[in-house]
Amino acid sequence: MAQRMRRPAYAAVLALLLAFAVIPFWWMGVTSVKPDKELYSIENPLFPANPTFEHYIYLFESTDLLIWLRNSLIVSAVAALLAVSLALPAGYAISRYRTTHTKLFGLSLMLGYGFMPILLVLPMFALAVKTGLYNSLSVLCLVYPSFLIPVAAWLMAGYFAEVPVSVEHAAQLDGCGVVRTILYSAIPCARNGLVATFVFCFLLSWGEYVYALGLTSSSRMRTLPVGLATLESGDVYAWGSIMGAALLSTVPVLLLLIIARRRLAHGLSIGVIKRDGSNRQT
Amino acid sequence: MSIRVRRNAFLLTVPAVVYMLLIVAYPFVLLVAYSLTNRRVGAPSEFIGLGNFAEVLSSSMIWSVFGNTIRYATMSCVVSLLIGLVAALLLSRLKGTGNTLQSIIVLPWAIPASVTALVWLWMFYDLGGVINWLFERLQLIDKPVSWLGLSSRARLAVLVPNIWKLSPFFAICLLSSLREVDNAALRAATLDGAGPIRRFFHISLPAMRRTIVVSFALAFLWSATEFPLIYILTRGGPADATHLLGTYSYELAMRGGFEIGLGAAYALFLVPIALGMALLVWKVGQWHRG
Repeated sequence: MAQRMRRPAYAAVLALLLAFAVIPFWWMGVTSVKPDKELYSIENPLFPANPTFEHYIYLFESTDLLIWLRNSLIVSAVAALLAVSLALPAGYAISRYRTTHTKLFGLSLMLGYGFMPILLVLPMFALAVKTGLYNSLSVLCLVYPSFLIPVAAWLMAGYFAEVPVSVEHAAQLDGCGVVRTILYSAIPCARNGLVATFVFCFLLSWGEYVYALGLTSSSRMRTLPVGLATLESGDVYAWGSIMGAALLSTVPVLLLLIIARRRLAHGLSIGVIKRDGSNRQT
Repeated sequence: MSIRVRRNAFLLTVPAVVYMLLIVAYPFVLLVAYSLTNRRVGAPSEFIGLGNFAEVLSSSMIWSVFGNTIRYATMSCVVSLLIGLVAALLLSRLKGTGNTLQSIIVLPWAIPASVTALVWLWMFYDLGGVINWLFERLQLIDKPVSWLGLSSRARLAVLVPNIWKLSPFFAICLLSSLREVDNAALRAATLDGAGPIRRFFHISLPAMRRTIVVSFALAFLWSATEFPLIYILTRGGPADATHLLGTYSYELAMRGGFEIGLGAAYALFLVPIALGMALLVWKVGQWHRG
């Protein structure tokens, strides 16, 4: 009886929390289809009275939105690929060998992760200028792995830990060295995990702001997160188009999350929380 | 342990190590070097020893930005953890939570932070902002309020987007941890007459301990080094009231006076916080490994 009475209260709290999560997205969507003169109306701001696509037309025709979108796709994909390929053998080593070296390596990776972009952006800026890479997409592709490699290595370690070692023993009996064992046995077995790691790195790069702001200067080299923030500068806040661009930049995130969610949530919990030593060669 | 195993373990980590040395360790050494000079853009730089640190410690800004950083991170994380915990407990009661629902829940955490900052800037806006409209509707205020224009209010307002962003992160981490709580133990406790509150504090919470510490440390690290959520919402203002160490360092070195040496000194105050949290994550991750 008591149980039954509590249920509406549970549902109400949950609904409130969901509203907190969803309202900003609703607000983005509503704002992006309101004509300018309706933006500041307080009649019923949660619904557009005269929906219009003028902001989207403006975004595609008069701003660099498509260039930013392309830049973001290139940078995120290349950086994620670079990070995953560097982190893959490292993650394998963490999951399979328990030596002083891998232990120290795990520690230094985590400490390295502590050096967030805001700490390193000053020297990175100087280095980028010095090497002539300032204001290019390549500098972003090269620099993003600094915060991706630790994450990717730990995620990969978690996924590899789930691959039974017996499979690899079979490969080793067939005469495979460690490189071929990884290539022909570990990678195929952990391919879902690999994809999830790539997606996660892609998402982290997709949202990166500090390096993208500090290491590029011209609009044509901006990524989406930085580019859409420049739409607000000037005297008039172009809220309609800013919110339209904001909404467009969340669409790929939602799609990737729906595709990779199950493996990702799983990987996050095994990657950070519970990698046990049962699956190691010692 | 054979030499072959040791050698393999070492060689496999070489690519990642070399790359991290190049793009993390080397720039960090440069940052430390900058902090010992009076380097600025367009002027020759000179070694001035700890001069920048003396200047930082004697200015009142350091206490304000350091305090802001700690307060911003602590308050965001505590509130988000509580919201995330409630959400996780409620979600775990829903049978067959769809994948799509969970993807929507993590969305605030996964979207670019500048998008979060911009949508909240517009929601907080005094003219046409939906928060003023909502609060007026609920009769909490009687005329539009400038949320970001007054120091004390702005300090609270900048917390909201970060809480919006972090709560889903906690919710998802704790939800997956709750799913692994021993059901047999829960049932046994129920049979022994333990109510939901005791079951939570004696069985579920201890089982989630590690997840809570790790996710809290990560969220603290992200919040202490937060940039776009402050920079886009307030630019550190009004009157520098919302600056964090990172945003202030950026402002000094990359925008305002191009005071690179001084900016580097401010940034270095973040290092103990960042490394402390990273160490905590690593330590707790090790618990299970014995």
